[in-house]
Amino acid sequence: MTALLLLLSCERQPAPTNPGNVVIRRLSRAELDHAARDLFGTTLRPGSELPADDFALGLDSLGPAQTFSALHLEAWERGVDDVLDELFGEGTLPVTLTSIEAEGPDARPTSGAVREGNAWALWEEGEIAATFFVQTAGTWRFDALTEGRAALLVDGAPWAGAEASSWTLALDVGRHELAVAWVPDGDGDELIVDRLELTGPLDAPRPANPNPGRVLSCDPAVIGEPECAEQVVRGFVRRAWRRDPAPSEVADLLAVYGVARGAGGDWSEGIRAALKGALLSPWFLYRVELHPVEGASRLSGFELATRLSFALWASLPDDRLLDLAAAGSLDDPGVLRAEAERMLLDPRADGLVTELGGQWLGLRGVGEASPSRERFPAWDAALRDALEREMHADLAEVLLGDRPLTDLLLATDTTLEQRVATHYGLDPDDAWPATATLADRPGLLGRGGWLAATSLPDRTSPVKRGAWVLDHLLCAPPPPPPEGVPPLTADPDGAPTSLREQLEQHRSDPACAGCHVRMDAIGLAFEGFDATGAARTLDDRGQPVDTRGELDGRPFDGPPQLAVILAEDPAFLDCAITWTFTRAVGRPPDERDADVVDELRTALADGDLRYRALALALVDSRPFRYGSSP
Amino acid sequence: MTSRRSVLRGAAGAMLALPFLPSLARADDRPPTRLVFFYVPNGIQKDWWTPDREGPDYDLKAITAPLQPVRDQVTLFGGLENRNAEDEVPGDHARGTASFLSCVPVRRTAGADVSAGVSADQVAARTLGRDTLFASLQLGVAPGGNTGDCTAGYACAYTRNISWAAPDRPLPNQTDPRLLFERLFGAGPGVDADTARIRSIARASVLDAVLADATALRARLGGEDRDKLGQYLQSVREVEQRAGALGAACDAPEPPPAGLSFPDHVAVTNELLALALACDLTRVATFMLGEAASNQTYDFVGVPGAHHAISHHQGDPKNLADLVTIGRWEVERFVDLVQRLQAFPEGDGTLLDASLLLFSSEISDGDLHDHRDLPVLLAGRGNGVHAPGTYRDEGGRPFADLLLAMLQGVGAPVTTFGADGTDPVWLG
Repeated sequence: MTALLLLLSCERQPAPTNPGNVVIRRLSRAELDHAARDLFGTTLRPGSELPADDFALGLDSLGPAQTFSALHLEAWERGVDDVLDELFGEGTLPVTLTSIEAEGPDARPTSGAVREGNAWALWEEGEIAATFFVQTAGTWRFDALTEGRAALLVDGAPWAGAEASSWTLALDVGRHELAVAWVPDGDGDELIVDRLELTGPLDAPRPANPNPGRVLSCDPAVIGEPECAEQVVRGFVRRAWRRDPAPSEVADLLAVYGVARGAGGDWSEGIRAALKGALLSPWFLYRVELHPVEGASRLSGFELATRLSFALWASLPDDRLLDLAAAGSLDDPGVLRAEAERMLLDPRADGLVTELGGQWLGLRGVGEASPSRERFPAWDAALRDALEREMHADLAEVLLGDRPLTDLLLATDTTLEQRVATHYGLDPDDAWPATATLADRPGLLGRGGWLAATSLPDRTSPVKRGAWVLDHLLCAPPPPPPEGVPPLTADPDGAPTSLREQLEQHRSDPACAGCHVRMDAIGLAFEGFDATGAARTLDDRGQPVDTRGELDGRPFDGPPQLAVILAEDPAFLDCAITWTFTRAVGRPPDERDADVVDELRTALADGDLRYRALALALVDSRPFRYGSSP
Repeated sequence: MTSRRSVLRGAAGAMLALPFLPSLARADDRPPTRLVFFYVPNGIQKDWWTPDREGPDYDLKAITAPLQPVRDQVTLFGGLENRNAEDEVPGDHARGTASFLSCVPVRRTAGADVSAGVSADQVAARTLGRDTLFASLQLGVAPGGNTGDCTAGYACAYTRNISWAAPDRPLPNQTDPRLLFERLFGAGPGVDADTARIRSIARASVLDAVLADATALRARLGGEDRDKLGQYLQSVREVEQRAGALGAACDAPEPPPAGLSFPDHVAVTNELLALALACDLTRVATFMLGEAASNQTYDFVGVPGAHHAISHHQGDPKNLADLVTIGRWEVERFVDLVQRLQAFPEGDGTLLDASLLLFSSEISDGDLHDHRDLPVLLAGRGNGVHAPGTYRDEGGRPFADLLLAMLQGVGAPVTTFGADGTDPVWLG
């Protein structure tokens, strides 16, 4: 029987499966940012101006869900203008406003201040102070929205100037304490302070592009204005459009250059217009894959280079890749693989961490975590950013390093900054940053960033955490709950109940049990961590934390034991394959890809579960290298 | 400095002394009618909303108390429902939002093939939007998440958008005040007039070039790719039509600063919206005070919890008190907009007299999650089509009937609206 099957499989050459049609993909906001970085060497983020991307299957880079509107175009144009201002050394920094409510938690009234409605009143004495962080040295305007005049104190020292309610002052980079103080005033003895505001910088020029020669590759005074314009435009369009432009396409953009010149603009104005034309073009904004024949066909070299660079860098191909594509070398599987290996070692492979890791593994959620400041005073933007950096570094070690994929769940070593170490309950006086072994916080599910991102602002949500794990790590998203389920209710006797006891209601109801048995068990394992990811022994209701549970017949207690069960579940690796395939190819794997998925499983196993092995095998696969007409 | 403060402090009238704009006068010497749809997320607690008495003598409750100074400019409607958002499965917030202004059932999908209906603002824009720089504006304060985890198997497109140009084409909200300002009033000073002129000419050439690129490319594509490029083409044409027409009616006020707090962000958006209407840059706008099932915290009025989580209040007195606080704050924001419109004289009355402003939410009670007896306010006179100042219980009829009445009031040639709007509500 076995021999017969072997014989059959050897003898029968399977017909190549249809690689499937992929709907045209617009560059996501993040991809636009990366493309601007690679084209211009800028740190501006013009893509962030666009409206939020539309998602399908948890990803922002899939064609079917993406939309486009006039607002998208105008927002992108605004971002492009900023980048071009920087390239040509024009423009000023945007003015920001920091506004602090006098009665809010960030203002500090001294004695003599009396709360009056939504403001503070200073009655013949007293000050209201607030600390501002100034990011750019320059001229700033400080406004105390007051009724009456006040004296100003800067970093504790009286400001030499008249009493007023608005001051223009020079400030250095760093933290500054600005305070208004009561002064005797002709019309009444009371000073009402509503809020304190710092606006600026009022005069700071935008830093110039660090390397304008990357785009402006010639000197029009030396080689001639038209010649230099053509050289700049041709080179830029090749990078931006990821292919060699046709002579007529270059001519069209040079015509735009000519219009600006004809209107009285100088060479720079002409180039600015032509580059803008290239960046607003659908050839830049969309990843175009043309299908020269009906049905399946091999992608062109340039199309393949683009798939490769967006898969591994979430950005444009570099010149080397474009040159190989132009020469037809990427059709050689050896060359393709070598390029992929090179690219995974390049700093731009960080795009794999921020985009695939950002969406599949929840890194993006950290930046959106918003614990209530009132409920969790320790939480602030600095802690959030530090937690994000920690998770980013951990994910990078697995996706780009030599660690097995299961370390996403199991790794107990992590590098901590002081702020994170303190948050995790370690001694702030130790030498940080340093690598620590945290057995209680295994893998990404032990990271404060993930724990905060899967919480509500004022409490944890075991259901949210459990659903996220099922959806993102096991690719088994729980279906929405049935309609008409009564909400969790408090104990009718009024006795305090733990969330666990409340969730028991789910499991005792057969309509809910199917999903909640797994979801709640997973989520409750993390109850030892609050909505900011800090360890705790009492839950949000003041009840002792209980992290025991059972998943698919295997009992566990807490994250470390749960992580082992998840890491041993074959669905975990299959889920890694699904997310990787979907994002790189542009559609999810389906029945026709069963053989390919098998090959990817094998490659992963043979590669000691290194993510690199999966990425390289996928790049070599037929769905990645071929396209199909609709 | 004065004008900057007014951006934040609500003195819209003091900021711009607008002359009567001759461009606004029509043949019958009446200013054009404006429509605003104001959306708040997560419902409203009706116990602190619904008056006891019908008619002009209606009583204000804890949430509606901020209406006091404008009560004669507002009608409270009870008994209006959007049954199109009902379904056997969860997703009430997503359905209620996507069908909020379209009043049709939406397709249940997590992203790839969204389908809702054409929203009332877009129907109105076909009539009101022909002569203005923007046929309509979509405003919001929630910039939208960077993650794809939205709600209950429904796409984020449903939870983020109330304005739909076509069943598969949601119009995203503009949430950045600076970009909104620049779209309305231009980028302002920064370059000299000559450079601005050169760039304006060059820009027209850029748009021509990309339009040609896109047209040629679209012809080489098939299937869904063709539709995607079609959206792009339509967008370029829309932008092209606007090119060069900026800043015609009003002097630009001082631009808003970046880095605004949430309440300031709302205040600035209200102000810019009022200016856009006063300057006749648009006559139709939507404003979402949050996305469906928003978990915004209202720390600044003493509510640190997550709005959506609190809205499943389970009768808990603390949750209910928090919801009253949030609801009242939301009504205050609506009243703020109403008063800004009231501050602009126009014709024989005010901008408010020429406008209709609708306030409502995607659901009614956050805990019941239902779409019946929606919290509905209608402000302004709409050039005489609406007699405000009463409470009317409509007794359980389609919300679409009210949208239909508003559309007919602005002269849109419609006899039905959505799936169930057939009998326009009487606006007095």
